[in-house]
Amino acid sequence: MTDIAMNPPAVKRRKRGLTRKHSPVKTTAAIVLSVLLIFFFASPVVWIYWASFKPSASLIGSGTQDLVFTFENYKNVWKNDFGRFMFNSLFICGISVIISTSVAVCASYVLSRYRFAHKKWLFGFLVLTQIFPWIVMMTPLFIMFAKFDLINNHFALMFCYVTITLPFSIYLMVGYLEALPIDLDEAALMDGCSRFQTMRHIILPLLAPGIVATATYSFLLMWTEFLLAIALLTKTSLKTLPLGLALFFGEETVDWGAVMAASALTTLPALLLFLPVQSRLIAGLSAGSVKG
Amino acid sequence: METTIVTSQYPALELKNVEKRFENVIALQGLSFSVEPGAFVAIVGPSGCGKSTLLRLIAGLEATSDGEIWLDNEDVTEASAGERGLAMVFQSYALYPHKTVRENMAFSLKIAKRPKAEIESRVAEAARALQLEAYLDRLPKQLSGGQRQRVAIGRAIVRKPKVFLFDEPLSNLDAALRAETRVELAELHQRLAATMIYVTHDQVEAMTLADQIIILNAGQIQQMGSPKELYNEPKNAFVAGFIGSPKMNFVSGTINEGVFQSTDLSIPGLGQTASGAITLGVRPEALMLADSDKGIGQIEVSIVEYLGDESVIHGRLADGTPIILREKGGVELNTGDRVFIDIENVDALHFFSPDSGERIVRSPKTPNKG
Amino acid sequence: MLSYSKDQRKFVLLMLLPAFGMTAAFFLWPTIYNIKNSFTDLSLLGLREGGKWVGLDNYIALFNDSDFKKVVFNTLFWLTFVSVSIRLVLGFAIALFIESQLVRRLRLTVPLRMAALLPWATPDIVAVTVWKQIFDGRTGVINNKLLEWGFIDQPIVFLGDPSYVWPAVITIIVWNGLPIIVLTMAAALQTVPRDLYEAADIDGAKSWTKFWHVTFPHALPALAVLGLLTTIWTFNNFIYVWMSTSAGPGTFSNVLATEVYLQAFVNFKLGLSSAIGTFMAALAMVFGVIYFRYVVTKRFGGLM
Repeated sequence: MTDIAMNPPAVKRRKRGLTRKHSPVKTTAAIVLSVLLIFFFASPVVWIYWASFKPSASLIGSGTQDLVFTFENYKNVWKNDFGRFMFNSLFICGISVIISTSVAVCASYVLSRYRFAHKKWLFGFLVLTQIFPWIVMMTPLFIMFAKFDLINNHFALMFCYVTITLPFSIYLMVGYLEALPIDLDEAALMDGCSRFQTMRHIILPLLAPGIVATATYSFLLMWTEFLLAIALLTKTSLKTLPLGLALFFGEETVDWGAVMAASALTTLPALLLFLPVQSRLIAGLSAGSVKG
Repeated sequence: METTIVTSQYPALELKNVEKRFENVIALQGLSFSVEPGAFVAIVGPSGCGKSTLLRLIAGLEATSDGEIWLDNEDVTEASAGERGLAMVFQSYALYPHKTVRENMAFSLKIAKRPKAEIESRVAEAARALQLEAYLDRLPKQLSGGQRQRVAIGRAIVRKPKVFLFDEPLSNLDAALRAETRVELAELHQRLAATMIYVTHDQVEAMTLADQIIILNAGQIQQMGSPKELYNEPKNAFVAGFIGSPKMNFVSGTINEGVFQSTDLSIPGLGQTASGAITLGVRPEALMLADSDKGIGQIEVSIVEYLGDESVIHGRLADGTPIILREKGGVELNTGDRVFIDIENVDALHFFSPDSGERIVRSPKTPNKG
Repeated sequence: MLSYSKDQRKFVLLMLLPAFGMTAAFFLWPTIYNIKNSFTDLSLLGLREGGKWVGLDNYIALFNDSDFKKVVFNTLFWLTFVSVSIRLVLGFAIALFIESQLVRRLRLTVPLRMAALLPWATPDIVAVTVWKQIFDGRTGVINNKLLEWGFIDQPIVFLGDPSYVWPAVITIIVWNGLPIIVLTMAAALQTVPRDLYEAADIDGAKSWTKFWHVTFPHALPALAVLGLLTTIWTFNNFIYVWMSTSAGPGTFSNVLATEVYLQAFVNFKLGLSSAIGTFMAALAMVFGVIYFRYVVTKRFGGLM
């Protein structure tokens, strides 16, 4: 819909742009500024990938221009359990996303479709959880999980990940559901569907793009989560990617090559998943429904 | 023709004292009526009168707050929408966007787990009747507005429902298509001989399609009756004003010894009706231009709409009361002209109580209602 | 809204229960536990014995502690106010630049947007990591270049020098958090109706007038929502400061989030940490109330 709304003005504007002359000084300034901005935004990311293929030694001092490329850093991080961390992250985030998204679909469907008392409080509660500083919950959660012997337990972390992603998943999903006319639900009910059948046959297929966007976003949030993971996972073999990345910072000496390779590996899935959903998320954001 | 098809001695639909409240707001109050099998009933009223809510109560999409709903001698008040065996055509059509025309029409039968062969033959039959055969494998978004509308009707037909419910089904069509579809709907009703309940805000649709019309205002039934009854014997000023286009003229005045008198109008010869303050109602088609200074009074013309076969003259009495009248053919009148008007027949006049708006029966032979 | 009879109430409850049951378990219990602990002298080393009830002592201690005042100042001023203001102002300016006719004509809009996506997609922990390397005193690119070009004789330890540490941390935050503002505002600017500009052109408005009377009012709601969200996220953030400076040098760049952590896991004073946490949550709540009243009720008002 935004495409339809946006295209005609863009065309109009371009036409007008051609008729108007810009001074060469302004044009040069715009080009310089653009190059600087692109450099500012892109160079650190480019640097991660570039440096991850450089020998660690060349990253110290001013030897960074050497055109020596190596897979040494990747081999290095792999040797240091990075595969393990990646598997842990995939396992934890994968399962959590499935649970979180399913639970969010159920709740947001009812929130968007049914009238019931105290709904306002439910929304208010969601806001509360969204703005709550997670750091404050670290100690209580740590103590609670320690009591039930759930430290170093992946399922405990999954529970946390499901709940921290639920509030904005529900917001996002309610937004997507609002775009589906309620007449469709009613038509399905008239056609003899039960409430569950209505969801299964009518709502879920139509909500699929929204579900994908929401799930991707939840996944990214979990994929990069650090705080809860560091509180709940102390055993190295159980750690997730962000914790693994932090492990490469030694006390005094930092193996920058390895750190860059680890960063590159952590960022790549995020980049690949993020790009396809970004426009949908930008749309949701101005409505104030996404956690960034 | 309808009587031959009627199989049940019970009403197809009966409402007993149905009430609907939203929190503290009363949307519908004490509704009771019954619909004979095979009837085409239109529910009309201004927006916000509760007509859509009423349809949704019948459909089972909304729960009643009080009262009972019966379908063919079965209490369905607590039954869910699916269990009632009704079909509804939505204003928006509500076609499933991800399903083809065929799948849309077959969906209810699939949910009901009907055999495949039966589903196919019923869909084919409906598609033939609605000329949709060429579009069965298209998605709703690939269809025109009129085609979508027919798919929505097809989806209802396929179910062979006890009662068809229509929620303003023509309001999304343009004027030409609307008139055409109206005729098609009338034909469909004849062919299927099914009971149909039809909600609309357009009284012309109601008058042309329905056997029975229910006029709803502020959550209450104002009158239920045939189009003729509503037109000729409106129960109150609201019904009188709602039915008929252009609207009925209302003039307040007094009546005494058979003479109606307002500031500008004087109508004698009305028989011995009750005396006192009264509202006169007269339809534009019952008024005519008077030849000379006879007539019942004088209006100042504000505008004349020429429609070819007739003209609609809008004017005002001296006290500002608007008056509309219809004349055959064209008239030579200009804005500001003052003309005399007359009535064709005293029997075409309606009288209403100025306080309650209730109809006051004029004929001296009929005893006053208790 | 769909209607439902009494037996279908079960359906509604069943659908809501998992989500709200889990969030309540996750948020409510720790919150209550936290508030309770804030009135005790519970120690991380004495969890088994539990803490002694000390009333408001923890809170009184905090408000009399000048170091804590500095922590609050750091959080509200440096971490939140400065970094959010820079992001909003710069972000909106860059969005205007990206969407300007000149940049459009030069066909630089798309490359600029693509470049801006990169920091947004970068996890905060990676952002801190790479900038730590860039800022590094011995091996960092910036120091290398500055030394090479002769601007400085001694490398600057950006993240360990009180005069540079906040600008350096804020640079990291801005790099990571600017694109979300730029891209969202760019999208918002595209929705300004063109006929408004044309009407302004017909009225002979100058470009500055057009900005104030057409562009700015139209972009303001999105900017306000972004500002509010960014404020909440930044205020709550632990990663940026902790991973880049560990609240140092010393406790120079200490903020509320890191202070909660330090008191609990370094000083083992759980009671005090809980009091700080409660204070922090209460402050966050102020933003939450604004967010609820002006964004959520507006956005989902029809459903409530």
